Amino acid sequence: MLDRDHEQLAQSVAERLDCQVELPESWSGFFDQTGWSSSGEGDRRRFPRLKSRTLAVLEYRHTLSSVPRESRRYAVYLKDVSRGGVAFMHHEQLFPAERMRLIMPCDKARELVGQTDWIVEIIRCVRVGARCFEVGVRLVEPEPSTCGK
Amino acid sequence: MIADGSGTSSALAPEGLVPVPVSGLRASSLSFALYIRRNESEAPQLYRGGEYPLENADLQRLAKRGVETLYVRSSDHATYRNYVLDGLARNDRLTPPERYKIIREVYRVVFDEAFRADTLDPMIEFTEEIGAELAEAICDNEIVLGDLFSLMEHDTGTYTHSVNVATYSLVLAKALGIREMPQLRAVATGAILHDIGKRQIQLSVLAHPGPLSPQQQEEMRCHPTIGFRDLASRQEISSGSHMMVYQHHERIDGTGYPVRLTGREIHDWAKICAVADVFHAMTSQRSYREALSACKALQYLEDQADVTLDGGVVRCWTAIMSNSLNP
Ligand SMILES: [Fe+2]
Ligand SMILES: [Fe+2]
Repeated sequence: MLDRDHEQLAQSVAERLDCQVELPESWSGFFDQTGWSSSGEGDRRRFPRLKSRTLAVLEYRHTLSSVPRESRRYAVYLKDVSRGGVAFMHHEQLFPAERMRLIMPCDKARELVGQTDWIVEIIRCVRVGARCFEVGVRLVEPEPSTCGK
Repeated sequence: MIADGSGTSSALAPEGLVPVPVSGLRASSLSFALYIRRNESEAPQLYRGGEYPLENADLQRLAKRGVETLYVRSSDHATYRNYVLDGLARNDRLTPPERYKIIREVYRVVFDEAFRADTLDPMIEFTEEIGAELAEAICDNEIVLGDLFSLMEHDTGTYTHSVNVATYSLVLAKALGIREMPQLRAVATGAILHDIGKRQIQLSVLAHPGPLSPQQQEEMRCHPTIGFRDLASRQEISSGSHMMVYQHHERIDGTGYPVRLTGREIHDWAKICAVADVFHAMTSQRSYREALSACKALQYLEDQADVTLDGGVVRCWTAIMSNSLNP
């Protein structure tokens, strides 16, 4: 029950936050895609990825001395989720090794990774449009403040 | 004459000893032992105990025999470096390029060892030391770049590449108005470390003769991200130095990597490092091609100005190099 409440809260927070991501025009079918992502040739990812196209909440934390961050929340677009990590779209670049909080309001994510509120570490970030960066993160640990809920 | 890179290669050093160029020694007392290798097949033997001074007659005899390299214990290398740097400070007869060249040679072996070490700690330590020395040698003196360019090695070895890129970056940074020594040291540190992520790239890719396959290219392109990630928690390294490591392959038109940043999103120091990096890459010899002349490399940079590379930085570099090459 608490899980469900938490998901609904995350969903409503994500919807209230202004999502500043501008997906490229050629990605018009982005939110319609479902199912498993097919791995391309030479894809070295360890786990299959499930397309989970929905809003999520990213909460900035200041973790690197070289990258100033203020604690703020942003709505991001989830792209896919696997047992080892998550990819999402964000409007600005994030830096490798930064750690942040990611709240995913989606059942599928919980099925795959056990829970939806995580501390994540940025692994890579590539621009795909003027205000659109694809960010790959590793799931580090469940967010301590919600552990056990 | 200062021993060249091959003369002081750590590959020749026996266990626990590191080679040092005879040119860095002077007639004085020593507080470290020196070893000599009489021929390639023999292990080095004690040449002079730390308690005995080195005399001019010794240096003359070594020169006569053509000995360019002696050895010190690895554990004595810090003492040896202090001895050389102390000698530089007292010697006002050396020209700025001579001073610069001795500094380069003093750090070569320890840098190579630190680059291969399991942890980054020794590398960071040496980088800060070399960065400070280079910044002072280059920026405290009215050094003519053309004099340095002809003295510098132009191979693609890690040390040569790191130090050359640091030297060019320092000259550029100063010409572009960075005057404070702490900032210049940080520029040197970032430039020396700019390819540190290559530590984690497979040797088969790093040493691949000829152009890389798409897969190898993809692996190679991870080095800025790996470097940034490995240094991320190092608070002693400035933010600008971190960005030199992460963004030196970004290009102002968005065709670079790893993020595909454009123009103003790229840190100014990373733009400096990019020009220095391209210039050294083009003027150094590869296994599959000859080094380009400085003139040809400058022509290429001019073509890239305001296209992929920052126009202001390129123009500053071409002006400095043209003045230095045709004073
Ligand atoms: Fe590089
Ligand atoms: Fe480089």
